[in-house]
Amino acid sequence: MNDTPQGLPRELSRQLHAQVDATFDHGDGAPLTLDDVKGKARSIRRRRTALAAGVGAAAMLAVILPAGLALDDPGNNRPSPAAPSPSEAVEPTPNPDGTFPLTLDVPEGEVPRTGYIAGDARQLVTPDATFDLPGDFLQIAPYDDGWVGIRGGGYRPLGYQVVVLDSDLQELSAVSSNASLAISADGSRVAWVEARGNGGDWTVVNAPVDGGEPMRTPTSANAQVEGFIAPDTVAVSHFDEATGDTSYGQAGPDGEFDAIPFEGFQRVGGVTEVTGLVAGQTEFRGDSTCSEVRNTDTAQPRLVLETCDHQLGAFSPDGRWLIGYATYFDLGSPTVAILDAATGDPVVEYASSRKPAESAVVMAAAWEDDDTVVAVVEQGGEQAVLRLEADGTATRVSDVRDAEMSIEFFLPQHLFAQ
Amino acid sequence: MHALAPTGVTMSRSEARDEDFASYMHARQPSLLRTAYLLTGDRHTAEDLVQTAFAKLYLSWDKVKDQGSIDGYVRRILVNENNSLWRRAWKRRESSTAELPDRPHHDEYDGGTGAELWDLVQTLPKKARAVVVLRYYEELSEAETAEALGISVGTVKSQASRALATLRDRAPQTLNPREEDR
Repeated sequence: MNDTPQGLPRELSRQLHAQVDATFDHGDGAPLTLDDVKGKARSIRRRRTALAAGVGAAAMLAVILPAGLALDDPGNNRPSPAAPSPSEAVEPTPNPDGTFPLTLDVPEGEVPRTGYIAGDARQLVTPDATFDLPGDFLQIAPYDDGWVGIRGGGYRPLGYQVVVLDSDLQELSAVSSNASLAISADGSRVAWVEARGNGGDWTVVNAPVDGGEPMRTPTSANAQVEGFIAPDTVAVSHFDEATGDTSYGQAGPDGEFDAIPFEGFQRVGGVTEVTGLVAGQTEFRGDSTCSEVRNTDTAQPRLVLETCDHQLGAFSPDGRWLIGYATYFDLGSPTVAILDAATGDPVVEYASSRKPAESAVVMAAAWEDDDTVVAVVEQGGEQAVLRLEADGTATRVSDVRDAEMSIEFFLPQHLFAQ
Repeated sequence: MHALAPTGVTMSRSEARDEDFASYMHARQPSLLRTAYLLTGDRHTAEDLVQTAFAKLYLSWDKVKDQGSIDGYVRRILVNENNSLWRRAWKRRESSTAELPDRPHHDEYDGGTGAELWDLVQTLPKKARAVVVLRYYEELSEAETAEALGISVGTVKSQASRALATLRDRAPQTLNPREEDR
């Protein structure tokens, strides 16, 4: 049999369409309202612990500040009201299975060095001050004596703009973009995708943060920067709407796209130029996933590890560790781990209680430094940013906000989605 | 915190998000409902399935929208949730239909011999049936079907082949034009 629609396949196609036509009147078939769907969404959220899975694919945001980077002091700053006062350290107590509790009921700690964006408040919260942002920013990074950020808000054609701001966070320029922004591990370069003209000429921009001449590589509207795989080279994904396939390339200093050994990845969770590794999901099994770490050497691509125990996220700044999430979830991960990037073995893992009333999920996570993760955690309809350390110590480093199926805080990198 | 313009017409972020989502839902609901019907064989179950798929999409809307893969994402939810419904029969007893407008059913399509083929499709294992619906109703490519189901292209090929073989074995001779298939 071949793929041409003839014989039984043709009859099958005809009968399936006939069955549908006989069941639905023309123009029929939109019985659901937004309220119906939102009501169902609420019930799913209430049930998620009982289903032993969590969460969700949430869009990520990000203040992208390399560890240790000094922040300028824009004029509209004020002391961080969101920064809780550090509490006395408490010795972490592991669960019987060796994991540590994932909960908002932890001592307060200092605002993370990376800072975070308080979304609804349109504020950038840093250890030194809180700044008002000119719009709904998802990501922001130092650039050219000021800032560059991704702003959402229904801008055509993809809903986002890349905005260059001065040191006082006043807007200097804005062009169409998507939601991706990447910064190199040493903080020397930043990359994004932008469109010039009438939505036509899409370009990967790879720019030194000191404001020097950027490298530009032509691309398509469905391209996203995934991260730096070399000090001057950006990994880029292309989603093909016609086929549903995602392909990958690298935009290097020659202004051309080159092949990249990412075949088989359904989703890239992390890329690091420090060790030249890429981590991502390679298999979806319905209620679980498998992931791999590979090197990105086009001459000698090599499998580093494969695991079906965790979904893989961002590499630590030094490339030694990986963030690991539950192998499958649809509304947020009930676990988050620091994994050895060479073996996939957990260094530490935080896990939600299985009691519905105490269930907690990770909506996003990113690295604060080489050993410490910050995560947006939701529990009981409230959301906050937690600092999660390798010894099991957890502290709450933001205020607590009500969360109604929303992302209240944005961190320096993505939690991916499913 | 949402700052209102003097006219008071500026939408909050959540309102804009809802409007965006509602627009997508309005456009895609009829198509998804038809696919869900073919996956389930029952209109009320299909409506429940679509409601759940849209609810999960709603919860993940920002991220999925960022990825530009909304159709693929919601289709995958639809199929996975249907499989999940079959695994957990209790869930079918959940009544969401009370929240939905009542309307007559037309599940008994009197299409002569064609209805027999539809009956046979409903006897296929759930994953094979999903492959059949996506390939021969939605007319997705093997690669698109694999993406929607989270399986390999090879598995799509083998599932489709086995499904057609099963249908040939069970179908009456009038629906079994073996020679044309080869």
